[in-house]
Amino acid sequence: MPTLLLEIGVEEMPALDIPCLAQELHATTSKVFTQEALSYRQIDVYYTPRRLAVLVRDLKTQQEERVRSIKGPPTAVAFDSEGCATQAGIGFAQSQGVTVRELGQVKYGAKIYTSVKRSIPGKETSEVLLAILPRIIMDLHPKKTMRWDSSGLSFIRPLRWLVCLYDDKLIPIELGYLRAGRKTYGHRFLKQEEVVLDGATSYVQTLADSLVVVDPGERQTMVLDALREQADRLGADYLVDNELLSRIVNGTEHPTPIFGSISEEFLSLPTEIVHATLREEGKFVPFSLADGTSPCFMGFRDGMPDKEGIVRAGYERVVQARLGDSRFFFDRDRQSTLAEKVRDLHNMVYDARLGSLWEKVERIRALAGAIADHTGDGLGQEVDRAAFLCKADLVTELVQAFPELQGIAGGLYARLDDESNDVAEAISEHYFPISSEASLPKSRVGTIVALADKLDTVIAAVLVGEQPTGSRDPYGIRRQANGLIRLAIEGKVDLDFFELLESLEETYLVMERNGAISDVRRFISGRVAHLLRQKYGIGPDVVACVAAVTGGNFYHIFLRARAVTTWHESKDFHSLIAAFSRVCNITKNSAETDFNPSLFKSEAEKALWREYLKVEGSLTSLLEEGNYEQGIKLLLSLRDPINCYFEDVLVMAEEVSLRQNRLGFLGALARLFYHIGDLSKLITTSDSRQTNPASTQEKR
Amino acid sequence: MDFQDIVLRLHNFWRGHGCLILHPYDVETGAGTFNPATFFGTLGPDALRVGYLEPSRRPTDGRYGKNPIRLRLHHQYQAVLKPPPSNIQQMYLDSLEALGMNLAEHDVKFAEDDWESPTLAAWGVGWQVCLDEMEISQFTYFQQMAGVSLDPVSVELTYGLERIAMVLQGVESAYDLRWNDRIAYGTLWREKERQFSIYNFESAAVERIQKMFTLCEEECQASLVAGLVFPAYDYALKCSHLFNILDARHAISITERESFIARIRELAKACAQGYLGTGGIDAYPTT
Repeated sequence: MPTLLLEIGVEEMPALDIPCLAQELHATTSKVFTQEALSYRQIDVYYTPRRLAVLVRDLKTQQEERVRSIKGPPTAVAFDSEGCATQAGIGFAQSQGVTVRELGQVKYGAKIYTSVKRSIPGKETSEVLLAILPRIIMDLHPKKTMRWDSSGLSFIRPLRWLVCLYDDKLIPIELGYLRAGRKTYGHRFLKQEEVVLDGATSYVQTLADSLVVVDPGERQTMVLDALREQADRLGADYLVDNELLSRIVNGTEHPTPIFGSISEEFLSLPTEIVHATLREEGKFVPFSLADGTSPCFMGFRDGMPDKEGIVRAGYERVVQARLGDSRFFFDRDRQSTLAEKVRDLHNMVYDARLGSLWEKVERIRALAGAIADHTGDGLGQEVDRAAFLCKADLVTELVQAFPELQGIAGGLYARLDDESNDVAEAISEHYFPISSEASLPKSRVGTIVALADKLDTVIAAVLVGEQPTGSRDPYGIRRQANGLIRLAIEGKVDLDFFELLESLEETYLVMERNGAISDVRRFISGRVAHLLRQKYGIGPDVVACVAAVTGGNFYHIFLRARAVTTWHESKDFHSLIAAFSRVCNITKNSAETDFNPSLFKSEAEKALWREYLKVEGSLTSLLEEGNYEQGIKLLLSLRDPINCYFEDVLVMAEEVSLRQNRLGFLGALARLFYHIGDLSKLITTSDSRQTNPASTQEKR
Repeated sequence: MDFQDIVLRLHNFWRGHGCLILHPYDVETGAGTFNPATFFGTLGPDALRVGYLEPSRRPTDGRYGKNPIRLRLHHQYQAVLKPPPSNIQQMYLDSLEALGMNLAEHDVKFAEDDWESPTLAAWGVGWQVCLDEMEISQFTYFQQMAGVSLDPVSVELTYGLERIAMVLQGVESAYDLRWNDRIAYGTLWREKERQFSIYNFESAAVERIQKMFTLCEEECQASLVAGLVFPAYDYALKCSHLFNILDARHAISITERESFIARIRELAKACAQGYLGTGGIDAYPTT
């Protein structure tokens, strides 16, 4: 069966936007073709900076027959109460060329209408294509569009040619001032740039012959292979992230590696600066050698190998000049110390409502100080110094030129200013983790400053009413909160952050608004639950169980969740849950009241009381240590006494005082379990068996 | 090819494509876009084709004559065409070939670089054209100028002449370029770069410059009231340049920066409105 090719020729599209646009082209094509009853086997989309192409393989030459129902007057109008056709009914039937008897019925909303089913014979595919293909192109939604002529079209970049072939047949679609032909363009810098295609199926090969690799996957392989080979040769690593890779792969039609080296005069410049300079604007991939220096890089020419070394010389000249710039920034920054730069933060606005960066630094210091006090690592001085200096690099020329060096530049300058190692490292790490997978600070001081920075960002945003809603998150505080929680959990920070907040009211007094602190708690607790599920793989029921008891000690919440997960599958635990549920059910409507153990009568009651005292005594210290697994084990010893208790004791005794006393005791027992969470939220395997339809059938 | 030959060849090339060949504007500008031929020419419905050289002064780019390609004053060649011809990319590449460049030997990329000037309330879509990853031109389809949506749109081609000359002459530093067969670029410009760098970064009298800014702003506004848009625009340009000096001098805090830019933008917008309001003056006609 024949294949359709549509190639959209565009002036160079922004590399990072192309994959998304191509994906949309794929989705739109498949949707429209299905709507139009055009059957095909497969859609493939290809792209380079200068073209988007879609190949629809084994596309049937004839559109499928479709049935359309034509709506007439409501049945109640078309027929009278005796079922005879009215004038309206007859008229509609006549207009459709059918008899009254052939009228069908169709429901629209609440009403029933008469209808006529019409089969629409399939048209020739090529005729349908003429109408739908321009629409598919105009339905694409690039992030940013432009106008280029008076046709009224807008697109990501000017559209310059169209090729539309159905096997070897030309489909002359029209769009703006363009009309599709057979002529495409090979690589821009070939002598014979124009290429005439004789058929759709030879598209990929014909362009390959003209030095255009239309398959982005193939271009990526070319790039990565070249990098790997060079890295192996050097015994080095290449430093490429997804963005840089995408810029190279989608910014070229035929990527060819060009290897270059860096003049020795720049080897004294810190490695981080050299790498940032190379990566700037997504042009060059640095290689990092084991000894920290990186005297070489790789760029990718769009075209053929550079036999005369002309391109290489050009690349090296650019790198040389850029590094010269970086050194200029570096030297200017070094004219004052980082500590001296701190006062310039007065002039940098953090947010109109939240004051200057100086004020933010003051808040970070207060928070970091409080955290350091609680965690008691004896690092108070280093923490305060690092917090004081952590934002100073934002006024440096280096960070203004390379924003991604924030933190790292500060760490560099701190070291050169002879700040202590702890302080310098903490500054460079305090933005960590920069993503949900990225690494955390290695140092304790860095962890504390990072916690304070993120906590402040979250609190400050919430206080001015900028909680995220839907996709709107102007301060990116979801990510900040995620970072905060990861730092606490993975850094094993045993501290209740919500209690800390209470003690810091003064710091946020200026920005206080009613209820804001509870908004902060709610927001962060929501993120904790989210991360437990998404990042730490805790089951949703376990998360619901531990989240029923809110708190600001994220590390302990995590430990609880993990302990519950460990016990979750054990049979003993299931029976404990059952016992707990009985306790809860019976006490859930009564208020917390005192009770008097001397009123306990039966042996079961007294036995439970003894066990309770034993468990309560050791439970608190176990939980404070974070040993929730042992804690649960300890609670297990209550199971049998509870079960005996319910067999022997009538809790709802006639006598009011006796009843109150028993409820009071059971309430205390339930609260013991709440140190772990609300166990009734857990779904045990025995629960799921009950809801299993197969087992219901057995009962029948 | 000497530096001055490059200018002459570009003049010739664009003259051949129907451009009015104009001269640098005699008020300091940060880029060729600020030249009134582009600012006023891109406004309104009339066709436009101009080509000119524009010395572009960017105080913060000064490097005391020590960086091989970063310059406080560099030379832009600018061609502006309204409406853009459909083969404009090829036309641009032809102009490079006309300079004697063999593009087949190089790596030429059109890398996304949308242009925006907050001071002119203007933006466009386009690329930096990179030759062996060195930016040699800015290629922009203007969409808006001075807050006015353009219809038809214009295309602006801005050539960085020092960088192009470095490729053509095969030298590693702009200062090693030949200006003509006797004089080196460095001989002509290095000392000026050095002095202006000292002036812009260290010596300019901040208070006086701030006063001058206010005076020029008032003069611009007064001229607008008198209905004199071209004189008014000259003073808007001066404001822009004075702002750039203050910026290099680190005399503007981040907060003030926004408000300075907004003041210049208001002047530019008022000039554009004044020009369009005169109804039908075509300042740079093609016929």
